[in-house]
Amino acid sequence: METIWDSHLNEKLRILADAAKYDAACTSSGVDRKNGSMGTGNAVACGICHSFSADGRCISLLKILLTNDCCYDCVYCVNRVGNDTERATFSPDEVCTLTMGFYRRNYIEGLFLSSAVYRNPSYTMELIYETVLRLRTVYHFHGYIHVKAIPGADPQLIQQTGFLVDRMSCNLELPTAEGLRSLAPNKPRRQLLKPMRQIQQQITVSKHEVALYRHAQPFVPAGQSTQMIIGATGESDYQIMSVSEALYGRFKMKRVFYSAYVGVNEDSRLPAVGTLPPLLREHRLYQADWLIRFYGFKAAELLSKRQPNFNLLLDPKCDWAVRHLEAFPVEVMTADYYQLLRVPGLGVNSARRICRARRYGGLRFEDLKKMGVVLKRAMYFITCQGRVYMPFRMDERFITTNLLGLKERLPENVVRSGDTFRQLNLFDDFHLQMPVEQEDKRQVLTGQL
Amino acid sequence: MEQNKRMRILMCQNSTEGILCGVYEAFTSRYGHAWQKLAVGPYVNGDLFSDIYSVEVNTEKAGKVVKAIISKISEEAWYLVHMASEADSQEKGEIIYRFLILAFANGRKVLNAMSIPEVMGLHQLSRSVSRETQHLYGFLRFQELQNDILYARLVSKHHVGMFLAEHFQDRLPMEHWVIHDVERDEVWIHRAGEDWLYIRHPDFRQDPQMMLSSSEYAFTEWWKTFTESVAILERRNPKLQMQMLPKRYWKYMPEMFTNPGR
Repeated sequence: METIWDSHLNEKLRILADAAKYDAACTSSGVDRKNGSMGTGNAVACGICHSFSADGRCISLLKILLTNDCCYDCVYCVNRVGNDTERATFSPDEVCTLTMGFYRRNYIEGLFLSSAVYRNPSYTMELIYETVLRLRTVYHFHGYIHVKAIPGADPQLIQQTGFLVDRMSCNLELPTAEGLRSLAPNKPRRQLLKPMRQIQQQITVSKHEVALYRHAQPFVPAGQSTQMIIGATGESDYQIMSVSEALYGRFKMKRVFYSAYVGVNEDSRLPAVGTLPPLLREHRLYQADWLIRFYGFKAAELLSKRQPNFNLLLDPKCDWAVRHLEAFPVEVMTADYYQLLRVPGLGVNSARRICRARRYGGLRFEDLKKMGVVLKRAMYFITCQGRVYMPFRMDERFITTNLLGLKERLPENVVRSGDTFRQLNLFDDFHLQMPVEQEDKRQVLTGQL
Repeated sequence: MEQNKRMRILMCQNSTEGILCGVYEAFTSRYGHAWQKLAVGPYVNGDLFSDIYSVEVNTEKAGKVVKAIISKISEEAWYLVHMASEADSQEKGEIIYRFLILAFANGRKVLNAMSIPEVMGLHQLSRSVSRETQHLYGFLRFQELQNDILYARLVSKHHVGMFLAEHFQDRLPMEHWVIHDVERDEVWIHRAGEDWLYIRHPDFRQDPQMMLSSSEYAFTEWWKTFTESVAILERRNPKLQMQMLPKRYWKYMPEMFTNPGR
């Protein structure tokens, strides 16, 4: 099994990893599979991060394009046919060699194979299928594989591929149909949703089969995911969240990824090259995404037509809570799990711990602290056996001021991007939070404010 | 009379078995839990008012304790005790001992009482061990030697080699591999298709670094190329990278090792 150094392969790897880097999905989670003492590899449900790249993102999979030789002309994409970039194409064997070599050295958790549309969708899908088939049957690879379903490819090919891989994804690219029409003329929305629907239906069928027959082959066992570009077109957060809610509900998506648009192409329809990617906005969308998936929130609770964008100053849950003080305070001893989850500062871990611990005995604020529950936000919204943490006014403005005073721990990349609240217009943002009151207007007129 | 009783410090070997034997001695001695402490060897600081007893390792006794924990408390309790017993901590023996006193008296429900310091202490200890284990599932790096043996050097705060061996037993069952805990000088060896073996103080006849296979160079270079080009420069953020991948793991990771702080 000797492999010798090959600088051409190195060049290809450089080009095709670079071309794949804007894809956000590098997770290896969702499926638990024992090896069964044959071949190489297994899969772990919680996913494993193997390294972290210079931008601080997790490297879990060998994330590459099969080729970046594209026949489409999507305005936002580096690989659009009109762009003068280096082009390269892997052969299926090269992908297999790299995957196996990396996997044996524990560099990666598996393969994430995406591709530009080479010649036509079906041809590209066939190349992907061939690669994955080789990897599974010739190299006996049992690790994680995530591939892209190419929109417009023959459904038969997508189905065959689905039986070999763990996850499939089909990118929505842009949140709205209008955005797609103007920026990605070759990808009508209908064509993007078709493979999604197909994969979803096939997953449902396969789940029944696996439950009934021991040897039934599971289809895309880790489910499907999708991705949207944020900030290339003018959608509001409300539109974006409604779309993802529909994707989670109607298409049974496992994950929707949001990727802050990084300017790569010069075009009048796009933000200028050199504009900073809207990382704080992306962060807020992910926070809201979690609220929808794990905390039982609805998009319409967090945002509305009147307030279509997230408050960049407060995280979505705090923002929701101060606008719904009638739902608080919540009694720690009696509130159910989902009520606890709605308290700012309590996450899944804290809520679970509280639910466990209160079965054993009464909880006081000291006990919560000992259990590792952080109270700096939660203190305004909970009572322990009828007691409050300290006397305070249950008043929207008072609590908001205090919450704003806490330094939110934003992820490093958001802080560094300079996209933080310090540079935003504080006054403008307050209007999202609180409508101007009659009294304020009077004060402005009389010069008090 | 009771007042004059001297403290006993039971000094046990620094291992899961050792601690379990310490627990066995402490419970069977009938000297009184209040008068006994469990300390982890090899050295213990005694004082004027206590006697130090060293506890022999006995697999049978340790096995009895494991059985008792599983049947009288729960599987979860055994998992927590096992994880905690591999932690890098001077107090782990005492924490496990105090937890077990409470748990044998109250049954499985004590695991819920996370506001009790003994229980929370055990949870914390086991959590930090399992967190490092999870990290190393990803950050451990194998190098291919001649004869196709995969060799990994391990540096870890807690004693997690066995958990890693279990993980790679299932992941790479058809490979020969070796995980070498460099600081504790211990080795877990796996032969293709067999179970792993544990060897303390291995005697390498030759430095494994001297016998890397010929394809090793190509793969490390490709890997470096990959990790470099997959990063988005507009989002460059070494601080976040460092937070997610602490420096103590970098030593044997080829992508970090040759190119620190890119």
